[in-house]
Amino acid sequence: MKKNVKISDNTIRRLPKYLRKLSNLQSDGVQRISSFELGNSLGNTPSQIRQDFSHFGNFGQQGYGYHVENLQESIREILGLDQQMSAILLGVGNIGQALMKNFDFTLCGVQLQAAFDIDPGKIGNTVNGLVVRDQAELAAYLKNAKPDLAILCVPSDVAVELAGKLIALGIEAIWNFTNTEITAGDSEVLVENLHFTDSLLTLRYYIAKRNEDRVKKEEKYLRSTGSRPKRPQLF
Amino acid sequence: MAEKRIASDNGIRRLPRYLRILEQMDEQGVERISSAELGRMIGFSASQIRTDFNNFGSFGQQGYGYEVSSLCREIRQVLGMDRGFRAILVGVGNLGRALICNFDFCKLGLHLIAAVDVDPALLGKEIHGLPVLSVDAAVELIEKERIDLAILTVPKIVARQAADRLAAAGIRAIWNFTNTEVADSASGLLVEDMNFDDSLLTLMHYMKNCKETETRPKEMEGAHQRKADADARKKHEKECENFR
Repeated sequence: MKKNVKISDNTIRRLPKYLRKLSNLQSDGVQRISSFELGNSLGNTPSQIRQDFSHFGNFGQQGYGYHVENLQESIREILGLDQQMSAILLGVGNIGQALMKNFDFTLCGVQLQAAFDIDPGKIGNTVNGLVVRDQAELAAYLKNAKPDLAILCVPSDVAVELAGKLIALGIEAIWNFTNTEITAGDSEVLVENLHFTDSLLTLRYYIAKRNEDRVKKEEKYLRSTGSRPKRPQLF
Repeated sequence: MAEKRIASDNGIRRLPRYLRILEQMDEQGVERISSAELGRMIGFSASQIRTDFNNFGSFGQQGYGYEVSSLCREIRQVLGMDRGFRAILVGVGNLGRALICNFDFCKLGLHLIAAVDVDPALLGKEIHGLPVLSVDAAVELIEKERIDLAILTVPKIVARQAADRLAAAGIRAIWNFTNTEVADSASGLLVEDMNFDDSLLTLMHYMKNCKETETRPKEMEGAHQRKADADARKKHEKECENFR
């Protein structure tokens, strides 16, 4: 693999999807796959897939395809999964608990080390084997443990303030679940905003578009036959 | 206004990001913005932004920029936010509750009609004013009324089963929080995956990369995106020619 390879953000965001698919394929006993097949099952074009993989020096062979296991290795390396990282979670509300109980952090090479909250009713409770700590201890904890990553699950009205505090305390990366835009300003801190809104709006667009396409199709049918199609019900 | 067409999925996915930033500015009383400024704030190149906005017929004026409020309006229209959609939420665990209690569905023009769960202890209860239905009652509701969308927040192991049941009842679109694939691309079901690990893995890549090369992701998004887009376009054109 080339060192210091630069890959576009869009490509990076497609890699986890490829990785998931490839690991499913491998557990099904598939050893190699063509860009065409992979594209078909993922809804990407084969040329897009070839382009993405060529970024990190992985070229399929014509007529043979890609080696499923090797390809996974390359992607895992690009995504930094060969390094273990440590994380803390802030805000043990519904979303925080959902992550602690159900999200597979180890699969992403992340170890969740501690969780914090300000609610005395939650501090001291154990959630999935992790004791909830008092957020007042945060500064001391960060100084000693130096986690790589903070996961922000607090209510949106305190999100920006807490993020600022974390950055001031020297955290290097924030995974933001608060549906509030958090920016790192001039610092080198990495912020990944997980915006549910973006995802939902994209889905809305596609639903609306499908409805429109269906109406157009029906109108065309109506014009050509003079009657409504058998299944007029729009969803 | 020109016919509203957005060519690519990536283009669609950029729109909510624009909207979020622009709405913020609108609230702050900003009246206009140049593509360069917007690009700096959002991490895209100015030319990318101009291309995206041109796609739906919004042209900024040279030396003046874009009008923030009308741009917001147009993006909302392209995204279909002027239409009210009806949704149910399936699986009232922590994540389901978090969405019901904290997520502003109304603002996105979405009406949450009911929640669904298999737990008998939850049936007949209300969460944040939303009634919890049994699976049978939900199937009946879907068959009787128009439900545009199901939000899937069930445990991973029953995700596919639940999606199949919903599809059989007549659901045609799923917002999927289960971190697993719930339908094949051939099924005709619209599925939008909200995969948390995609987001975390992306962050991890940048964490690793920054340590090694100190490259800021924003810069990557700009310049390298431009190059990648241009390369992809060239390659695609070439392939089209070969095909002919």
